[in-house]
Amino acid sequence: MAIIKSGATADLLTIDPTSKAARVTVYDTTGRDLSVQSKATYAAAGTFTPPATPGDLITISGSSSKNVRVISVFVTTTTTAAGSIQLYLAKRSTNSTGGAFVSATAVPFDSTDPAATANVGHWTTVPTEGTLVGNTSIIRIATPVAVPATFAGIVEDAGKELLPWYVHSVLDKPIVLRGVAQWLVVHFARQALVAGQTHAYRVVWTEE
Amino acid sequence: MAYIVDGSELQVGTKLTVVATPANSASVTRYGTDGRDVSCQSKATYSCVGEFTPAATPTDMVMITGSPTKTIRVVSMYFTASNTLGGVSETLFLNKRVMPNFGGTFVAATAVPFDSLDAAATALVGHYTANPTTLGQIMGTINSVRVALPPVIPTSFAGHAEDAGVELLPWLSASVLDKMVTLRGVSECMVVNFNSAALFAGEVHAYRIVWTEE
Repeated sequence: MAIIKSGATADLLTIDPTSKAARVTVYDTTGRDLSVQSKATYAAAGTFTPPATPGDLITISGSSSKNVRVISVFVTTTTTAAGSIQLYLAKRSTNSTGGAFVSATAVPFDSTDPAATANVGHWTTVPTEGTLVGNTSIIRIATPVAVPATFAGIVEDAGKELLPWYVHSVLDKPIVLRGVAQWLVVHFARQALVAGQTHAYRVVWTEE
Repeated sequence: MAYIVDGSELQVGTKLTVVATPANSASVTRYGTDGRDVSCQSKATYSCVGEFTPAATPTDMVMITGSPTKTIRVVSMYFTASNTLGGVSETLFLNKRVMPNFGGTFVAATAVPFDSLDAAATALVGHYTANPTTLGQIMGTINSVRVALPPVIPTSFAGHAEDAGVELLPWLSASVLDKMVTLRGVSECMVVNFNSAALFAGEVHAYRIVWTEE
């Protein structure tokens, strides 16, 4: 008989009685637990009217105590007369300053998880933008009217995933924010607004 | 009682970790039989974007090349097309080359690491504003799509697509067993190609590429 015992403690490996299978937990080489559904997960949402010629529209900032991995960034746009706009998803290495930032409420998916430490929200006046690492995504999307007179030709959904939920394959990383200086932002490149332009958004992230 | 001991470190005697409460489970890390670490989310990942007006009768428009030091695996290639009038379509080709292009005007895009702990990207990514003088040897076409071109700013919404772009190599396309498009060495590259077709008036493009390096 062989007993597999922890090298660090007195713990013994468990063999489940029915399946006779040993329990294993998957780790990467850095020691990060990669068990499925193991990470504290949060979402925040908001609606707003952007300022004129906006730069950053929506921000998720890093945390002072956790590593933040961004799972999804979804943005909707409507305008008075239907058209299209271009949006960018960018990573910054220093904070934007000034402007009026409205924090959204971070909702933990599991009430046993601690409160979120990342700060998510939108800008209603334009900040001075932090250092740009670069753009990670770009989309040109249709902007339907907020309340169409008829349904003909209207899209089902006024929104688009800039960072699609469940987009990752097995090996690539999500966007990681390490420390409060690192931000992921949706920005409009200081373009003029289309008349009646409004937005809604949803951000999903994990903290560990 | 037996310990499972790392055979490469017999003198050190590294021991298997059994995680205590509540699971009492063994810690394992997944490797391929070639010794490649295949832990989830383990690879340095990068993205870049660009916008451009293509050259007349373009050939290669967007390119990601291999690296002199790393193996590149392309996770996603997203490409948008729009023009002045809309209501038209065009065919795009995603080709793999085994020899590099020469000449033309290539505009490099900024590669953004998804994790600041990772090293700077070594793959070269960007787009052409003047066609390469000589195209590299083609290995073959990975994908061809016929895409709708909406106008950049439509006068009315009726009949227009939600999204002016299409995934030529869709993110999450790789299942557990199939390989991603892999670029080994600087001679290998993947390109979005227009096959020298004529442009539509006001045709412009944007793109996003996501890749890993290891």
